[in-house]
Amino acid sequence: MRARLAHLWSSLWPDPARTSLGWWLVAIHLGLVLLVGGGISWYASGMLRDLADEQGKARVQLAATTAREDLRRMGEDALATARALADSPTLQRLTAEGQSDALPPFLRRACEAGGVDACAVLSGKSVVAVSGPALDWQKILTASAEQTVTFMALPATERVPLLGARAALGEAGMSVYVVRRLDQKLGRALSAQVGAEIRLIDYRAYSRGPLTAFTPLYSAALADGHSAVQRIDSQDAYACAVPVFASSGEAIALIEALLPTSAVDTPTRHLVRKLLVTALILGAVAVFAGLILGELVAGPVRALTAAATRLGAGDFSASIPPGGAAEVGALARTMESMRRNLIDLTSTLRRREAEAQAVLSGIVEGVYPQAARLLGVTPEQAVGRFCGDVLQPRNEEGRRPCDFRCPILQARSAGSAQAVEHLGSPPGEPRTAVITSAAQVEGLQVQVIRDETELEAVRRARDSVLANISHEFRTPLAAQLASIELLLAGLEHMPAAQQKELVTSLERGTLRLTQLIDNLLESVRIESGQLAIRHQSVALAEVVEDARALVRPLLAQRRQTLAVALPDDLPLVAGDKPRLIQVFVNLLANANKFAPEDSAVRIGAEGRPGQVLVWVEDEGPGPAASDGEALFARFRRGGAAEPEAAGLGLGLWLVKSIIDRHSGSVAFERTAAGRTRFTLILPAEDGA
Amino acid sequence: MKVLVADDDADLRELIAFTLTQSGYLVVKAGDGPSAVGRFEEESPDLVVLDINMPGLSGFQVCEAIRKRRDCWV
Repeated sequence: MRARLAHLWSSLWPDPARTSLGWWLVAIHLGLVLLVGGGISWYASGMLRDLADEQGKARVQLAATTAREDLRRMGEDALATARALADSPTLQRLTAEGQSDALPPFLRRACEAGGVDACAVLSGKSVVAVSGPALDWQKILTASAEQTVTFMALPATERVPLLGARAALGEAGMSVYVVRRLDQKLGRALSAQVGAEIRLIDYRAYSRGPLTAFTPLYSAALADGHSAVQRIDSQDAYACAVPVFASSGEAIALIEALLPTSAVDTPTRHLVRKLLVTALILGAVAVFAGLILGELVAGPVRALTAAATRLGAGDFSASIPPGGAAEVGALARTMESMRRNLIDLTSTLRRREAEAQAVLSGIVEGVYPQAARLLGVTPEQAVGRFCGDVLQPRNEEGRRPCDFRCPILQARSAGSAQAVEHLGSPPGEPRTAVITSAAQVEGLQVQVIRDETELEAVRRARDSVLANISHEFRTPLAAQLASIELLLAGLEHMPAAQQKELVTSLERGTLRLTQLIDNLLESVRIESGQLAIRHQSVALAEVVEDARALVRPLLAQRRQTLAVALPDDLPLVAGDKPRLIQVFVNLLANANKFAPEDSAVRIGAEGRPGQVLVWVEDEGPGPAASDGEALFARFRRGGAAEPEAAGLGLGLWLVKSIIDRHSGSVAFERTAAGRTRFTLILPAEDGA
Repeated sequence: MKVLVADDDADLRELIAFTLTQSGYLVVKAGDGPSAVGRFEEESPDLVVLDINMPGLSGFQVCEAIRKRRDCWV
């Protein structure tokens, strides 16, 4: 219940966030004006009603007292009339002459002239002559005797009080009486004079009559002795009662003044109505003013809002309308400068985008041959396919990385544009690629794939070469150290044959190390371009002999024989003798290493025009024919078979490097007899 | 007590064999991986001294092959 009331209460109020400024201004203005206008009207009408009440009462009181004053004056007038009549010589004469027939017409004229109702001439208690209506003269005489020359009486014949005066006529005890009836006719005449309805009420009508709405008023007036005023709502009138007493103190009549309430209320109501109408008009003006003010304030704000919406939508063309109040104007100026900045910024961005566009538009959509070669697909196969299917990244945790976190998207979201991917395409040749991707332009994205497999391989090779070199050095050194220890221990009692064996082993180790160091030094010289080949006349036979001397202990260990068959007329070659010896030492060391024990190694040669062919043959299985040129690569070690053969993989590379610098060539073949043959072709010495 | 010495480097192999023989062991020699496995089966040595880097089968592979046949000090 409480919640429902709260909901009802809150539903009465508009949501401030959705109500316009104009509406608020109108509502507040209207509320204030109605509050002030209504308050003033209510307070003023209450005050006016009080004032009007006072005024109504004052008016009836004034009317009643004026009427009583008129009555008093009427008494004086009647006395004056009576005295004038008594002093009239005509009346004196007529009464003296006793012309009773002529008296009444005279008296009637005198009555009309004096404005009184009845005139009479009495002698003692008997009426001599009279004019006017029939009156209770006994009561009049009684009242006159009790009161002064003016008197008031309540006749027994009718309930209309009488006002009169008397004057002595002559010496004979006669007197003149003038009487006026206080009837409704007189009341009407008084009403016309005082501006309010006047009623003359016989005292007996009050004291003996039935109770009316006015009875309390009369009682109050009689008790007060002067007047009483009341608003009598049942009669819709203000009433004032004033008692009239005879000089003897007897209550004779009540003068009642009446004023209808409408006479007072109507102007008040009009005034209140006028106030309300004024308040309403003011309210309407306030609403109108609120609307105008709201429009003045909200209009520029609305315009700014519309402008901001346009800016937000990316339309910077229209300038921000200035104007409005100082604050709104400041906001408008700020927005205008913001718009100009945005225009500058976007134009810069557009220019850059156009530049990028120009670069990118030069690139035709598709897969470029280099990329296709790297990926092992044709451009036609790749276009339109999911990049994960084309790149075939290596699985991580059994899933393709691009299926749960694309490295490129991840890199871009991290603010970078490069990602490293390990590609499994083409199959069997895992490659490492660095992918750089440009931002999207018209839905297209350029991705540059740089193959770093070779770099990776070089890094790996460097590590393995270093490990290899250490191993190749340590093995002969360990053997030599052991031999030396044994020799030292057994110098005294060891048989000579054993000692010789150990020394030979030392010699072989030293030979191997020498060859290793020679090869490494030579390799460094070649790599750094410091290998200078001297061109001297060299006899191959000498070269072969020197080489044979160097490798003899090695051959002897494996019980291999070396047969050298060189034609006697073999031309000299132009070359560098120590380097050529190194070539033959390497070839023979290879033969020693790969050919079986107890086999024969052969060296042969053949002269050709301008050339010398010389070959080294052994009975080993030889390198795989598929190796081709790779056979002569640096750090390439014998055979792809695991485990790798001992050695550094420098021998054949050195051979080829040295022979190439002699402008010669080296080739490998399997002979018909199933032997492995390395053939060197060297230029013959000029003029030989 | 029989010892199998497997090393492709002849000098080292001979030196080890020489030392062991001097110490009173019976020595069997092998020059590469496969022959080492073959000699092991033929001679059933009590101890095997293995080089790691050998043609044919590496020392680890030879060790694996030996362990498959019989538990032995390597």
